[in-house]
Amino acid sequence: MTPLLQAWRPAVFRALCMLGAMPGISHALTETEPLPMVYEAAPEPAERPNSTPAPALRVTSGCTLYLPRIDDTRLNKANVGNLTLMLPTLHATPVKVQSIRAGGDPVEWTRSALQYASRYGLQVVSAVPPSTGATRQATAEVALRLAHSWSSGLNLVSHVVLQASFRMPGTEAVVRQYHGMGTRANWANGNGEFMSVLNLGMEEAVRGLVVDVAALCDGKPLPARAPAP
Amino acid sequence: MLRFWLALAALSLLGACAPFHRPLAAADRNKVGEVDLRVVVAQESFMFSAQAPGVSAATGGGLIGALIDSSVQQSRQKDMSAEVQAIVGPLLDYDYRAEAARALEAQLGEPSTFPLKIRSAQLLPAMPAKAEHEARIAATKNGPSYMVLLLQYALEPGLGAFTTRTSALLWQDGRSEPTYRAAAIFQTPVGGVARATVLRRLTADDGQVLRGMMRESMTQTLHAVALDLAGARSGPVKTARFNVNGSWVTLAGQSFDERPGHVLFRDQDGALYSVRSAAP
Repeated sequence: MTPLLQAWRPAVFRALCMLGAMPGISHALTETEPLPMVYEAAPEPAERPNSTPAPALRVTSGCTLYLPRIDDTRLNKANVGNLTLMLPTLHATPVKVQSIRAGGDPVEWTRSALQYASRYGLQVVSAVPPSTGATRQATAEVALRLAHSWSSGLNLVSHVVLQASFRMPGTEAVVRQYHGMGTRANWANGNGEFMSVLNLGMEEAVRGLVVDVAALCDGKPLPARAPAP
Repeated sequence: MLRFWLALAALSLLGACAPFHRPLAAADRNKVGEVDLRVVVAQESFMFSAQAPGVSAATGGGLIGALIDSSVQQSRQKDMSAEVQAIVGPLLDYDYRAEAARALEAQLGEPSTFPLKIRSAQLLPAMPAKAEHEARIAATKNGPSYMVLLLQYALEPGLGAFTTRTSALLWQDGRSEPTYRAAAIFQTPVGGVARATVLRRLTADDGQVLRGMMRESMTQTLHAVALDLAGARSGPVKTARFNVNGSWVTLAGQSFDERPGHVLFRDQDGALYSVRSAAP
């Protein structure tokens, strides 16, 4: 090896180490800007690229979901995610953490997502039902229990949990939880990417709720709570 | 594919850089004075789908696993939701922060348990913004030192063990680089085989077992960091069974404390392990 090359090696190695550690590369998140918490529907799962064929969700016509109340019951309302850098080693610990703040109104975010359930053929009304005894309708008080997104390897992941308390005529309210996981490739740690993965999780949770509302409209009982696998 | 190779190169280089552990020099220890301690727990629940660390890219886990996830992400979404609903749903009511905060208060209520004089201790649900964090570090020039524990908790895939992974960092004298830096890993086996049985055990009696594990993780992490800060010497080699991404492996390292029911050791890079030898 020539002396010149030998002299450059440590410098090049240090530069590459610094390059790898540069926050600008690994952390493009704009932490001073909270996520807008605006719901934008993604294409239906069956219409997305990389998707396996899946039957589209369709609710038979005339089914109405009344939403008299939507609450935000998350334990931590200020944040909706974190970007954590961990090295892929056995003794990995968080080397760097950035938290993602929520802006906007998470209740309105939830309401918008529920309103988008109209694309499945469901009528959604943000109000108390005019009559509780009518057929082909369901009434649910919905709570946003969890909305969190995080970086995982080269992906972003989200977990959204909605809790619906269904009012049934003549019986006690029946409570069900709906979990949605969103995953997507993480290209730039961008705020928009975090919002997008949260929307995917929310959409999945709403789909679960719609399935149960459709059952109620058809006069079927709600399925039992999911057993542990 | 370019994204993968760039990330792989960056992470490999980072891994080859200086070891994470930086012991507290005697001169710095004498000047630490009072410390404001902040424990940052930035996650809201068990992060179910997170790729467990510890599997190198070369063995097919980690980054490659993430790429595979990326390519099939849409088709997996529904399966993941169902699994999460069954596993994480029952655990949603148990708040790691609340339990860790109790353990933090109890542990630091005994001044002799920590080698530094803690002026204030708080558990934070989010990492302070960069500007706030840097201002806090700069303020150590004429004020108390600043210690941050970045903690992540997880149930290993298969629910075989509960793990916390923590970075401990100490700033003092207005210096931008930490004067102390350590990785502390706590793990306890959960016990049980079938998932349903494990979940029932964790959540029985208002989550007594799960809450206990959460509190113990904070206590043991503080204990390990305290010993390391105090310059605890390494003793004979000890081994422990450790769950990595759902598989049990045997780890070995030099012991730095004796504690009934626990194996405490440092690995070759100075990472601190506190591993419970049997399920609570």
